[in-house]
Amino acid sequence: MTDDAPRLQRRYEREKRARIKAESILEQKSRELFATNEKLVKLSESLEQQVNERMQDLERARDEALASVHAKTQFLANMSHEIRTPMNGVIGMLRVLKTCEDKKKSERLIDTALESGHLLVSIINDILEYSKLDSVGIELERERFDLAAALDSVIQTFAANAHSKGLDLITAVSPALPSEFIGDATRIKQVVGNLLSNAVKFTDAGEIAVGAMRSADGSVEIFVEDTGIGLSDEEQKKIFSAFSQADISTTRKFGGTGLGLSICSKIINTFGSKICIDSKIDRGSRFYFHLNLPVANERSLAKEYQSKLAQTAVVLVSRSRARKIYLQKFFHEIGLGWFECCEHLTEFDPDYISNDFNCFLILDQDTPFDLEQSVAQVQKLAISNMEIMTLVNFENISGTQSEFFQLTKPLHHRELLDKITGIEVAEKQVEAHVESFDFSGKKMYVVDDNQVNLDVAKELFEYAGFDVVLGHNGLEAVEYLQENAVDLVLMDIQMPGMDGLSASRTIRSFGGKFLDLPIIAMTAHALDSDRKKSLEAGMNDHITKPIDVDFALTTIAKLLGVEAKAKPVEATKIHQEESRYTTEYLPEVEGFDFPSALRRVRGRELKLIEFVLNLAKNMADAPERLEQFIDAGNVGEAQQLAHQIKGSGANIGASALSKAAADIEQQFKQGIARPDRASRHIFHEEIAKLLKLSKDVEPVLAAKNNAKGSLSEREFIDLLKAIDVSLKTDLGEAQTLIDKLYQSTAQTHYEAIVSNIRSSYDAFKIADIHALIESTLGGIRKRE
Amino acid sequence: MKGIVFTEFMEMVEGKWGLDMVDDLIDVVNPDSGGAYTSVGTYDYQELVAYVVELNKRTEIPVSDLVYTFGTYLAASFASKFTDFFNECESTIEFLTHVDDHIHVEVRKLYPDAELPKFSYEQHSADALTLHYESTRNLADLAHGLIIGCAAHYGDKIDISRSGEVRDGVAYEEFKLTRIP
Ligand code: HEM
Repeated sequence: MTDDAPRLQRRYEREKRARIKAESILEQKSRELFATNEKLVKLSESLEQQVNERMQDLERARDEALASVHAKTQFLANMSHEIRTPMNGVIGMLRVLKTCEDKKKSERLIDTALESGHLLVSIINDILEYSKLDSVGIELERERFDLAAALDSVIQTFAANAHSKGLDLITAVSPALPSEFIGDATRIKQVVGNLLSNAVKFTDAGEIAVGAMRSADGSVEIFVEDTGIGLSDEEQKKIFSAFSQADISTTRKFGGTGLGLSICSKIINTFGSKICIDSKIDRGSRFYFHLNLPVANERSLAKEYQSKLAQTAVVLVSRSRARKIYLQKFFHEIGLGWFECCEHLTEFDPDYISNDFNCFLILDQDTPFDLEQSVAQVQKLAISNMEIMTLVNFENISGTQSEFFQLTKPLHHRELLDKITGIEVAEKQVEAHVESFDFSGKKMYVVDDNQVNLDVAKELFEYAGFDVVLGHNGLEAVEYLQENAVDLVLMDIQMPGMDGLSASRTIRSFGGKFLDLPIIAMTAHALDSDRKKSLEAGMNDHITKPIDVDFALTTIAKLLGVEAKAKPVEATKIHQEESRYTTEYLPEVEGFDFPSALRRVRGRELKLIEFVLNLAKNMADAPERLEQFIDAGNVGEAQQLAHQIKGSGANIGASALSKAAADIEQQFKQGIARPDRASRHIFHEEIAKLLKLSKDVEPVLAAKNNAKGSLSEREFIDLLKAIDVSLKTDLGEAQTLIDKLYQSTAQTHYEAIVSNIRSSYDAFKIADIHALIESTLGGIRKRE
Repeated sequence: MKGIVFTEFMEMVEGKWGLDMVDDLIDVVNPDSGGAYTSVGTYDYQELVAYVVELNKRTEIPVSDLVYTFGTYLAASFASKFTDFFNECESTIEFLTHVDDHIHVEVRKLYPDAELPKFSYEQHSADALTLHYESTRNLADLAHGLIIGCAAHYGDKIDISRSGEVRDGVAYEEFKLTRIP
């Protein structure tokens, strides 16, 4: 047994060790298990969290989608309102037009309908743009525009609506306002239209005034004022974001226009300003904003009519408070000799006004009854030197037979002024100044990669007296300018190789006289940011293509310090005729604006036809080329092509084509490799129209050429030889031939020689003619 | 080698030859582990080899018989410890087809450091199977015992013919099994 004791002891030790080992292993295993379990729990938690996050993402996406659907619905409702208003304008005008017999009035109605139509188009464009540009923001155009006319056109659009509600719509544009500014007219019209539409909507009785005036700081204040329901302080705060504010009552109260106003406020913000409101509940509202617009033409109604009204008196009989206030101000600013107003004719004492005045009595037709009463009273007054005019809603014009001159509401200031001055100073002087500057002796270098643009520029600026030299790209320009002194450079921006911006930078970098060389950027981009880019590149100014003659010349004159020539007043009338070019051969085709293109070639239609034919010839295969470039993924070439057509198209008056090309170019710029089918389709159609048109007018040019235009060189030589022969045999025959030669070489490079020949013939210097013919033929032979 | 093999082996020795034999074996072999085995530990395979050799000396039973016997013992023990594996199958033959791709796979999950043999098979009919054993440890006898032990569990009568060789230190053994109805 003693033997067993140590063995038992060892067995016991062994079992103990095994147990301890087992325990430690188990402990370790359980720790591992615990850790693994932890991990699993965490994993499942994080999975749960992930699932939750995914859920939340999904929910958010769903909410966003719903919100955007909601916004889109709202947007649509809102936009259909915006569309309906000018649409009503068009329909309203047309309805009146149907019964209107007065030719002058119908023209006004048509103009207004057209204006409304244009507003409609620009609104629709905005809708498209809004959906495109919402995230990108708004880019403002810079173009010359007549602010008063712009406001007038908006007012006319809303007149039918306002009048049908019994509201008086008053134009309150200050006559001291410069006739032309530079800025984005469409945007301003859009904003004013929106404010005006709201004013009409929320005013049940009284009057609405739309106006503009220059503030002391030089900015222009534009306002829309009504006697409507007004806005509480609370509403004023919300109104520009009415759409995003989920306040149903506000939204309901302001209808779908919530978005309209927030767009307006965005637009005015882009102008660097903001829309302000003065309003009290039930006391009307005044929306106004100040814009800092560069003045393009300092002329104003006030300046034009100033001296002409000193001996004129106007008596206004009206119950409209606003009309009285604004007309009073208007006549004061324009220098009217005497203004008086009263609510009823009975208050008016004719003896009060000096007999020296030309006196005009304006009877406002507040109600038809008022007018009849007033007329009866006027007859009693029996004022000899007083002409009576009535002021009636334009819709009523056609119906009423009147012995008096009828002014229409909304009042067209020019119409009134023309009437009371008796002079038709009409629209005029704003028009073409081509002759009003003389740039003779100045040398201009024009660089553009587009031949049509160059041709047009040459035409245009040579006529203004410039000696015009043409270049085709940036590098050529830099090289030419290093060697040759010029007075002015017109530089296209987008050119292959060295573009206009780098060319300008390079030229400026030469220092010295190159720092002062006037360089004007010439681009198809009317945007502010483009202008900034050209100025940053050291250019002095920026004009847009197609070239606006007046604007270009005014800009150039300013840069070169050339003064406008004093122009005799009589010239105005004639000039006016001239500046309204009409086409003789080019038919009116939708999408083409030949009259304005004609202006760029100073009415020389054959020249324009030539341009049209050239473009048609060069671009006949443009659609195929474009498609090929697109298919090959060659965006650069495709964009270049679109850009070219945009420029040339605009120049020859193919506005729709130019627009389609611009649209395509824009899409390329946005990185779209395949512009949408719609714009490509339009592009194809417009090219097709251009081709058809060019086919139609080609015979005109051919016929004209035969009659008078360019001879072929062969014919020219033959004719010269015939003349040379007949000089010795039959002088009568020689004269006929010389006349023929003269006619058929007008405006060709033979012109100079031929006119020398002719004047020699007139002086009977037969030997000289012979010598001239000899040397000309010799020159041609040498060239061959 | 996994501790369970050692603890089962010692159980068998103790059951068949008594506790003193266990002490004797441990005393003589004097292993590094001190013979304190636990089923969850891992021990040097050579210790097991040494025990079998010593047991052979003391009992004069051939090593192959000892290992075979251990196999049958182990099978019975597994049958009681890992009942699930056995319940999944209806017969010995079916069970054997599960060893390599299911049972030993699960074993490895439980003991990541286990060194298991490779088995492949051709099943000729429900009652005829050829099983190929492949291992660096020459334990075909153990496999044989395990098969017989399993057959005992399922109450199958299995006829086995074996042939095998050792090549490059790897033992290959082929078991041709036929169930006798
Ligand atoms: C529930 C059934 C089974 C279990 C749980 C099981 C488990 C094990 C374990 C834990 C080992 C030790 C491995 C090591 O320590 O490295 C082992 C080895 C072994 N098993 Fe199984 N086994 C089972 C069934 C079988 C059957 C049916 C056979 C025979 C056909 C078999 C043949 C072997 C062999 C021969 C070895 C020795 C190692 C070698 O030869 O390399 N096993 N087994």
